[in-house]
Amino acid sequence: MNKNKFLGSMMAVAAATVAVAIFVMGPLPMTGQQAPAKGVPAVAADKGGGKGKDATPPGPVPRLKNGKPDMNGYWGPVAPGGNVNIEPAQAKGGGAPGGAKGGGKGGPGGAPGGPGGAPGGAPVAGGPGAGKGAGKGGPGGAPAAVAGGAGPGGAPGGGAPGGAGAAKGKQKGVIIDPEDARVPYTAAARAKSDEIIAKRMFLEPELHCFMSGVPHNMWVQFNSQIVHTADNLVIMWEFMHSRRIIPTDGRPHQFPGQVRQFQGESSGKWEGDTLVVTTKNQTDHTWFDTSGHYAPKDIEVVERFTMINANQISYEATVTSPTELTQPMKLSGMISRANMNDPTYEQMEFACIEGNQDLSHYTETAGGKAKEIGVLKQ
Amino acid sequence: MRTWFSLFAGTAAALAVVLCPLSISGQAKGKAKDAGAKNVYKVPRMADGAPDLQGTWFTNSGAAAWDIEEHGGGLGVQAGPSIITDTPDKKIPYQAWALEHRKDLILNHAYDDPQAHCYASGVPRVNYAPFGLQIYQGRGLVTFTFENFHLFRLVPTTPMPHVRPAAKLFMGDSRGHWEGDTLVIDVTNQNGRTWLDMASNFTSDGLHVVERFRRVDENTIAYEAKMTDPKVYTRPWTMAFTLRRNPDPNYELMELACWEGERDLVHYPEDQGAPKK
Repeated sequence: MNKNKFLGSMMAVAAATVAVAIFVMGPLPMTGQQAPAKGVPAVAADKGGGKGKDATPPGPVPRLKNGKPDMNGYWGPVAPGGNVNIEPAQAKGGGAPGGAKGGGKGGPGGAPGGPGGAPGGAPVAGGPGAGKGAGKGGPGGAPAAVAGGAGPGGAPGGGAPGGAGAAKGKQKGVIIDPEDARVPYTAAARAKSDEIIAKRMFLEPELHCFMSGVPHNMWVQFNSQIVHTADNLVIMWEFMHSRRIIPTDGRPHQFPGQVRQFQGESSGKWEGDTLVVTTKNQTDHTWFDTSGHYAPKDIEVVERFTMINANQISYEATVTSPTELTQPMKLSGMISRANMNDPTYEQMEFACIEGNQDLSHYTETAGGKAKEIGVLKQ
Repeated sequence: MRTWFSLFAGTAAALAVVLCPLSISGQAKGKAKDAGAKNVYKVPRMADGAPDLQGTWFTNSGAAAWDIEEHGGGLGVQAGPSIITDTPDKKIPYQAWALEHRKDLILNHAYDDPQAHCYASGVPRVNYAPFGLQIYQGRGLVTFTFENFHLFRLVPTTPMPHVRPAAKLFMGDSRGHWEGDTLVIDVTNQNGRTWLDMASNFTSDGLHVVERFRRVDENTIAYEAKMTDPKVYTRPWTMAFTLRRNPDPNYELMELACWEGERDLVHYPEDQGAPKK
């Protein structure tokens, strides 16, 4: 399973990424871990695993004409994130894929090496705050879970048994509450997740080129570009050409309950310099990660984006589900500016479905015989 | 012409509810205003002086999504005029081989409509897909987001060279600049795997498109696209139509997540290239 899943993850990136994207992704390694800022909620900016090679201190928070923080530009994924596995891999028990199938030999990151060094045990090796994981973080301390293997931060993590750090209780993940950093599923929901992990990894939504949903989309591989105007914050990813359009005028949600979108319906409002985004009406076809931790259909997500300097956005999210989570799940990480060394950088086209060869790598035990292409019931 | 299903491929029932306000008001009627002409209307400006095209818009090109040439209606097919403005017969000036190829496509291979497979629409087709689009501006960038297939275009308006010719993309490589009131976008590097409509009008990877967007009044953008493709066409030709502002200021673009609920391809018969059932 692990091997299959890992292969799948690899292929999900490789198969769907046209050669064009690969050479353009080269400049992805990000510059610099930035100096900590005062008043950073939850995640200290100085915990990055990077060695802080960038000597240029980040400037003050840039502002839009309306005085609000200006988030325009290229950004990396939330780090530490949860793209490979939102939970610390478990040495025992059925929580993580490794535990479910392989007797505690590590989570889906257990395979050595891999694209961009992402599979290093740490959900996202090398990101700010992830320095103690298997991946030691690169010079920039930038999120390393990017394709192409170019990210200096990720490579060192390769080869470490997945979840090694986590098993020792050292790994910090993106979940800061509950304390065990696991999704606070109800017993029934946990059983469902375990069953997916054991038998139905073929359902993994990104394999099928589905959009990732909120908050998962905030830590997918590949960077995003934010277009920020007075009225809207639009986040556009290379990955799956996913996007989120977030009105920032505090408007009420408009969708009736039966209207569901992969990215839900988001509405943002400013609380001082923090953009607070509430997202409702997501489908039940997304996961929190690529390891079987599915997102309940009725989740409501409240995210807080706080720009702490010119190059970092503190990110917090609280996920609630009245039916399948026993308590609010709180997430915290940092979003760092990307591609600063390349003023000519542009997003390229990630045309997933057109060349998807990933599904064929799944075995029958992972549900790989399924022929249905459309929306898959979880 | 059985391909009208592709419009609805993957569209959740939910979308239909929300898209009601989008009902396209009228057709282009072949009278699209020239996007390059002089303006009487004083176009509002952004803080940086660029014309302000922001807002939520939808195509006024009526039936062009089915066929950009003049065509009659049918089951699920909306009749409409040609949106081609500068050829004598208002038809695409195909080379002889290309016209034969197009006939073969429409008779035998409608199944291959790239949009039925949820591939990105390419330019200019993305602009007359029958759903809404939103334009944002700032920092030397004009951004388009489309309901159709949750596509987006990021168009720099600062001088930048195109990417190298070997890079072929469904949406191509867009480079914009302003000419007075008009946003001009030069589009190269398309991959030749896109069609112009559901009637199998096609392009090649040699396609070069020059688009022009100009606001002609508060609620209208005149659009035209000059198409040059020496591999397929005998001469450059132009299409034109208008975009209308969505009258609902609270309108939000929805998510047409085509692939995730794709139920279109099963409607194609085998004689249109569909696999045996």
